[in-house]
Amino acid sequence: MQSDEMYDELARIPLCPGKSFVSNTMCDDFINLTTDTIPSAFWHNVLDEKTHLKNKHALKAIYNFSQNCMKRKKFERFISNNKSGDNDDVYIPSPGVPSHILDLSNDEIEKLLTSSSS
Amino acid sequence: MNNNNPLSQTQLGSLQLLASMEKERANESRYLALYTDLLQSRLHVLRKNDSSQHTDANNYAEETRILKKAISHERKAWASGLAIGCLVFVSIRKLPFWATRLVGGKAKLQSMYDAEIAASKRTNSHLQRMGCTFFTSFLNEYPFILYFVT
Repeated sequence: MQSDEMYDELARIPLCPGKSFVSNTMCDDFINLTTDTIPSAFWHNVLDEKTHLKNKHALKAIYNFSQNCMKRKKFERFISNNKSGDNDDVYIPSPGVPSHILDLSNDEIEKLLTSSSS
Repeated sequence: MNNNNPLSQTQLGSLQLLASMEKERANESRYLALYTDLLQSRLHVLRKNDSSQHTDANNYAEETRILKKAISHERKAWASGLAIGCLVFVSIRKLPFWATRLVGGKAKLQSMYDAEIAASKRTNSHLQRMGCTFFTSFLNEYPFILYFVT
C-alpha cells in the first residue's frame, strides 16, 4: 500500500545536495539493472501513458531513480574532475544535481557550478 | 515490402517496437522482483549505515530529510486508508437505519428495530451477528489483508 508520493520522494534521493549513502549503495546496481538487464522496450511500456501495468507507479519511480543516479554520477565525475578511484565521497553543493544535467556539456556544467557557488 | 523505402522502414521499426513492448509487458512481475531482490540484499547495509548516525551527519542532512518525508507519506497513506475503512464500516452498519428513517419515517424505523430485537432472540442470532461483522470488516479492510498476504 505504498503511496505514490513516497515513491516520488525516494526517486529524488540521488539529486539531493550533500552526500548520499543510499545513492552510493544502490546506484550502480540500479543503473546496471535498468540499462543492461531489462530491455528498453519494457521501459517504453512504463513511460507510455496508455499502457496498463499493475505496478506502473513503482516501476516509473525505479526508472526515475536510475536516471537520477546517472545524473548524480555524471555530476560527481565532473566535480571530482576525473580523479582516480571511486566518487563515493564527493560532496554535491546546494541546490543539488541539476535535473537536466544529462543534456548539458562540460562547459555548461562548469558555468552552472560557478554560478551556484558565487 | 521495399526496404529502400524510408517510410516503410520507419513503420517496420515502430511495429517491431510495439511487438517487443507487448512481449515485455508479460515480464512486469519478473523485472519488479529483480529490484525487490536487490533491495533486500542491500537492506542490511542500509540499516547498518544509517546516515543520521554518521559522524559527518550534516553532509547527509538532505538525504535524511527526504527519507523522513517519504516515511511520513507512507504513514499518512496508512492512516487515511484505515480511517476510510472505519468510515465505510460505520456507514455500512448505520446507513440502512438512516435510509429507512429518511424514506419510511420513524414508524418504519421502529418496526425495523423491533424486527432486529425479534431476530436477536433466535438461538443462532450471535452467529448471524458475528458473520455480518466479519463480512463487513473484510470488505472494508481487504486492501490491508491483501497487502499482508502478498
